[in-house]
Amino acid sequence: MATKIMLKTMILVWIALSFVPIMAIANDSGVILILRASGGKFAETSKGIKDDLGDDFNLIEKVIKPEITLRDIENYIDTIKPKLIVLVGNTPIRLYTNYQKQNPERQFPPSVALSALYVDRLITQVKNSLGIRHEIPAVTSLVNIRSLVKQPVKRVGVLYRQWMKDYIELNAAFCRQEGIELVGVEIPNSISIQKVKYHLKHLLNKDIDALWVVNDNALLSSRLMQNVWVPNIKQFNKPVVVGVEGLTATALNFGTFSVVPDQYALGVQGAGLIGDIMDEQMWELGKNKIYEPLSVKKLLNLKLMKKRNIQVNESKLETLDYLIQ
Amino acid sequence: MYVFYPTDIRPKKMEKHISKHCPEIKTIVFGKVKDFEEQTHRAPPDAILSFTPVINKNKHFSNPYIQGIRNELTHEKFVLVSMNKAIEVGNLNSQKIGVLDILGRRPMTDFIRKMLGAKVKLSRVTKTEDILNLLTFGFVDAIFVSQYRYEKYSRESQLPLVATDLNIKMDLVALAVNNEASKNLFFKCVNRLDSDTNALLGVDKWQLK
Repeated sequence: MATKIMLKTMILVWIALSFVPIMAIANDSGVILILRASGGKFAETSKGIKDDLGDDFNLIEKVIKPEITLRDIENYIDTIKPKLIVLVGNTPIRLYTNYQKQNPERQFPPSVALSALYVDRLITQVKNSLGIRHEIPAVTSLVNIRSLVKQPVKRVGVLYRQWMKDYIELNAAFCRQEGIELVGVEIPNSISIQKVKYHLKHLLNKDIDALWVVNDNALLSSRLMQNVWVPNIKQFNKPVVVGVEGLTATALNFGTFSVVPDQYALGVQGAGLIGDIMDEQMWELGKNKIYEPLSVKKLLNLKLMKKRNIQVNESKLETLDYLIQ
Repeated sequence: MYVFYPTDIRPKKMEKHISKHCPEIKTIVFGKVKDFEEQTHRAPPDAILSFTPVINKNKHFSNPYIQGIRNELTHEKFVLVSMNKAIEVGNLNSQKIGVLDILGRRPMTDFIRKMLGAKVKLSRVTKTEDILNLLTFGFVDAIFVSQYRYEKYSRESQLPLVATDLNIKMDLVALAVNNEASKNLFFKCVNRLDSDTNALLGVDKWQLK
């Protein structure tokens, strides 16, 4: 009997203790909830946020695995009562958007969206949010390749579908500041092998110094890669700048230079925005403002550069993160 | 020896450069403030090569013993770099200033506000190469960099950069040891660095303090 009472008491104490952190969190108005997708790159972004803000704010991270439902999101928000929500990756943004749609009567804390493809399109549906784009601006990639090669990089071609028009215009404006002209060829949203082949050939004949390949899944489908991009690029002895590391693989014989987001630095950049909001120094919420990513990782395929007779500034090779030689 | 001094090359490559000239010293180069601070706390080093404010933050390394020199000077001038037109130095309150973060969020804000004598807002980057992007994308009104860096950016970029003199000087890279007896070992090491490595660290020679 005594053992039973002791056991009961222990269980009660354990339950009470296990609720202490949640109660403390619920009373703390400064909690930041990080909802992040599972996977290494999202963890790296989250680490950047935690490293930068961990000393100043109470951060709680929830990894959004496939089995997580809207109900779970609702529970997290009800229990933690965050002052701000960070959404890392497409899945958390999608889930949180649905949560907002299902609870239109609620007040939503500010949210910051990171590490998601075309986040500018996603957060138009999220109330009280801002984000950092995942796609690297052309100017960042092109200024880097300009410093790496011994030939001029003044006119750079880009093939894009109609839906990207605004994004290309924004990039063209950034490039102009650096004395680089973005020569765009727009194609309809609905594409075929013939159409892409025709327009790519037309673009490559426009006396351009390099090609900037945008991240568009439809334009870079395996069918188009195999039938259009790779065969046409073979004869193009100028830098091909891509936004996916895999496209610079030697076996593919396509991209010579890839520039991708530095996930950790992206987290630190996001932390800067989060810190400003928490310190009430930022009043741009509500406009769904989108920021450009600041920091990148760079990979150069020196083997392909040499094969295409593109001369490289050897002294700049140490500024790269990865080198294929 | 722990090195925290962001340069244009990656930390692992800088580590190779230094280790090549100082094989007797185990050198670790950090690229992130947090990693450097945590490791310094967890496993304190015998020496730190860094900016003076970073060294001064650590109680075991309050006085740099070895000072980097460039053009016979131990310090360098800092400027505010903006685009198209100079920034009004008399009216910096609420201006957004871009900086390379060497101290972490709050300490860096306090440090820069003290240096500039104004309640500026900060936008921080973790790598030297990223700071110009703050101007390109219009995130800040100006960036706070050394005159040396400004000249480098002016050579490499076509942005219409304008520097505003601040009459602010800061020490060049320095080295501090936690045990005075070992300072000669480290002094010999930095004196063996070649001109390329020294240039990456923004100096051309070293002197004992």
